[in-house]
Amino acid sequence: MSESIIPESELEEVELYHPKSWWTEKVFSQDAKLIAIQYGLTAFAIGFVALVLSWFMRIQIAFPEMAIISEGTYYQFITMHGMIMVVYLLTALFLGAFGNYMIPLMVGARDMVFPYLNMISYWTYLIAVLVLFVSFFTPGGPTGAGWTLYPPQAILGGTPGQETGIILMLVSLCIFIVGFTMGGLNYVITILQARTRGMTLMRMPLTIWGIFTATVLALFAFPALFVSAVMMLFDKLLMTSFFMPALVEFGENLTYGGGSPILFQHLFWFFGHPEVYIVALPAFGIVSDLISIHARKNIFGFRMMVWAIVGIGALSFIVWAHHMYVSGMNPYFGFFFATTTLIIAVPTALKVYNWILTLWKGNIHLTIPMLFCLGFIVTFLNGGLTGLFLGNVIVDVPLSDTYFVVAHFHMVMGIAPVLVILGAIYHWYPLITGKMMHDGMGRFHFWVTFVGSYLIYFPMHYLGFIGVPRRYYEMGQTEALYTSSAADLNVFITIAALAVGFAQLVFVFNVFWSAKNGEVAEKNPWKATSLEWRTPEQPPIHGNFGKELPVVYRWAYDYSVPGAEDDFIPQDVPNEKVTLAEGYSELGVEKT
Amino acid sequence: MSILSILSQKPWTSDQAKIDDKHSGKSSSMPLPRIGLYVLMTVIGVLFTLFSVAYIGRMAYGDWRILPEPPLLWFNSLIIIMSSFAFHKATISSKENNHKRTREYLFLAGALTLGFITGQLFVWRELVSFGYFVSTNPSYAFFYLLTALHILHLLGGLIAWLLVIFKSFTLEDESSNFSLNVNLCAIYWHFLLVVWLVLFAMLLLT
Amino acid sequence: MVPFILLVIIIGSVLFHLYTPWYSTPIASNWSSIDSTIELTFAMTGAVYVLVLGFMTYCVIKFKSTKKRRADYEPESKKAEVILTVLTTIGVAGLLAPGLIVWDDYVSPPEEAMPIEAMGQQWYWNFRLPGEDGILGTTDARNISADNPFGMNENDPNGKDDILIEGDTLHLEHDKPVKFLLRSIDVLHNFYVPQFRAKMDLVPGMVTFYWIRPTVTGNYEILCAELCGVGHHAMRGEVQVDEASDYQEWLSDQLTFEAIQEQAMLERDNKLALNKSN
Repeated sequence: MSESIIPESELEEVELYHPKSWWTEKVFSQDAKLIAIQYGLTAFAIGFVALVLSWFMRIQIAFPEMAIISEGTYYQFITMHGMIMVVYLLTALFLGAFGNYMIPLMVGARDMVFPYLNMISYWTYLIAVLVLFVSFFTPGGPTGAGWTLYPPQAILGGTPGQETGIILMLVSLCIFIVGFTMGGLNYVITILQARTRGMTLMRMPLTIWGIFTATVLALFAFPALFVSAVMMLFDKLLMTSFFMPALVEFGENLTYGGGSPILFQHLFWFFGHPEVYIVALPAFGIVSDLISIHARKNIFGFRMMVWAIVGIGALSFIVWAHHMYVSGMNPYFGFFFATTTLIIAVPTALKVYNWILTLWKGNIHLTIPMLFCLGFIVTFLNGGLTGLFLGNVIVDVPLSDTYFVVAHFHMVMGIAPVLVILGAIYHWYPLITGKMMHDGMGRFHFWVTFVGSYLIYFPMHYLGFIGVPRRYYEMGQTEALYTSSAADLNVFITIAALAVGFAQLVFVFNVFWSAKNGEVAEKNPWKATSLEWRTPEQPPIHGNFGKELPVVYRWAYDYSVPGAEDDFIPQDVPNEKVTLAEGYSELGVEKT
Repeated sequence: MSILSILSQKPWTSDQAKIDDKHSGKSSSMPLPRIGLYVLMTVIGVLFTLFSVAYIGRMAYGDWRILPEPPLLWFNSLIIIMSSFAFHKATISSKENNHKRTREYLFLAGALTLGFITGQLFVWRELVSFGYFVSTNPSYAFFYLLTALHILHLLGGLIAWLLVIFKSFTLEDESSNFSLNVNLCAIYWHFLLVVWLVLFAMLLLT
Repeated sequence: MVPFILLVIIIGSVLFHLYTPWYSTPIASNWSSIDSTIELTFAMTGAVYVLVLGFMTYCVIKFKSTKKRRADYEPESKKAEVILTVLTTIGVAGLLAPGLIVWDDYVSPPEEAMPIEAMGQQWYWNFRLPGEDGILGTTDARNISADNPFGMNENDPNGKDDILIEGDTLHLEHDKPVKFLLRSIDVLHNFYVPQFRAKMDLVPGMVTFYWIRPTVTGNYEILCAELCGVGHHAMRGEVQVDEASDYQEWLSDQLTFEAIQEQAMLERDNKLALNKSN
């Protein structure tokens, strides 16, 4: 762009929307912080539904003789569980909830740049969730096509929910995408254009880098899902043959012809793989900040961390077909996609190294957020390494579509990001509510969630090695594969899963209990440097900062700077105002 | 500043801090609504690109049939070009603060857009009367799908157009924002014109 | 407590891997090279897992917060990052290269491999052998009817001697390579025999393939490994690997497409005759 950047002494004040009534203040609010909480609560509510579905699935897998749910219901539950968790929970939480709450605060803005659009974004999301939820109560129930919704199966008779469930699912996704695009515009432009003075891009905390890159990915990737959803709706409702070849449905020849199911898979995974990073990148960013804050040390290799986020984001668009190694696509694609996939492992590995090198020579406070970070590193490393199995095309052949895959992706994009979300909630809870969360319940919650999830998913990989396929309502009699010991393992996994589920109830209780009875949080209880803790009020009020916006003088990682009395220097404190430690004449310069 | 030079900054050094302290906090001097529109057009562009990729991907299969192009499409293209041109003229008039003139051009542009949409609906009717239904062949299905999507985006633009018209009646002072609004509408129309021409070329060539 | 639990997890995971009763089924095909790449990947990723988590645990013990300590200030270290990048790249390349070599083998069936069609439909398996001419006749899903469940092209002479096996056990000859041609007439399926290690989706509207050489005689179960509707978990089949003599015996009992057609014709004539005589 040829237009030069004009340095301004002060940004022009954004005109804030002033609510006129209770409705516009508390419900149809345009305050990003309240929208964030609305997003968060909605996502958790529908996510809880998905969690309960998983309990039924686990009980069915462990005790097939009980037949607690029917085949059709089982397939409906796995589908809804997957789609809700990936799109309606994780995406909405990281971008809708954390993005909305943290972006304006962390870049030093009063609100998002388009607050009205931001509000519409939430209500559109809510409609998408409701449309999805309604499908549980329609004739035939929700779709049971698997969260990947592969045609032709998704719209044919052998699949539950092919009457209306699949239509509602596709419509809901389209609505979600429209709503997300409105929010996404806001996140991107707020980060680019509404930062406070002195906040260069490289002075932003990694949380914002993660959310920013993920939003850009989402803006490019979700249209692919939109395209595939619209085309499948055409196939279902108007009998077109985009994805439908000539086929037979239970002995009856259908009028479809010539379409390609593989085309759908390419479109779906062109969205689906970036989607993994839409969830992972904000988690990377948040976990970097939490580790740095609670280890009292600057994040190691900050620039590498930024490059890795951007690089992973870019690479994520050329790896999609690694989900399709055994899909029947041209086998020579395997060479290309295996190579790109393993290349993406390098920046990802560097991030893991840098997190641990941040701990090295740090001053590690084992607070609850830090525990969640450690748990994240364990599960993410585990899931990342099993990704090297599945990304390497030939190793994927025996493992694809088995429980190894289920264990892998739950570890890497289920448990790992969820641990970050939970850690982030413990971390920012004092900011959002002004109270501390109960420590004892928090630690109990962490240990049961972390150890429990590890006990669920680590052994599950080995079921995949035996060759147990995923998405089986029951294994039945299979001498070579499904021995009684494998059945016992499944019982064990189910018990662990129910324990982890129970721990989440403790967490929910803690969230509400502490809001009322929690200890009042001191200002900036974790002694963090970033701007969200520098608001005059805690929790911050509408407009975030006081009369004047903060001015930024440093990056977000000035922890334990030699020469400073405190072990942190907030971003809006200039060098002159830093209290020097004894024996220092200047930051970093000892008195001679 | 290029992305690479931003990414290679070392924000913790005191030399870099001297530069950074002067930073305004904006990455571009463009007004917000304009950036908003550009990002939106990028997303819409990605959407149409992906549809085109799907189109080309689906074409490769044996059952593809060549679409007959009703001559009316040429006429419609002319109309949408004229509507884009009217928006262009409206922008110029609004920059000269000639509100009456601007409004006239805006009305003309809107009328031409509605004309284009009606024309497209006539094309549909013509195709249906020849027995080319959505389900007859994927090439027809794509035609209906892409034109419908394009019309939807025009309708979305017409909402913005209505707001601008409304604003032109309630203008009190010489607000520079009005001229920006007209300009943004014009940009969006030019964009949809380009999208249409690309789609039309693609439909013609295959 | 934290480092202790971390250590338990690290050591526990390694011990679990070493002593697990749940591991790959005994291999029954030529794809032991796949197993070797898995072992290689396990060795390398396992080492990385233990090293990285071990180092993390060490940091948690060594640099736990105390009143006295203060963290170091070190924004980055080019040297450390370059070394780690190079090492990781070498490791990743070391996994990828053998993987791609085996994949090349996997997608290049030998010429002498016998083509066998596996056809999936909701929710069972059918098979077709090429018969004496060694060539499978052409098919089309549009031809499918009650009399022609395979959708055979009746005008294709290559199809006349094709052997059709509907919903029954497939027999393979020991040590003879076969190229499976995979076809579905309704939705996606996946032809997977865990002991063979290989798998590939069946996609309606196209023919996919993979090849194996069965190396151990015996009876194996075919599992569908791509969600195909409510009956997915029950979509099983059987494949029996025979010694040459047993195989020939089985083969001679099977009916060709032509024979089946003639039989059907005969039955129809009989029925007609029966109707007339009534």
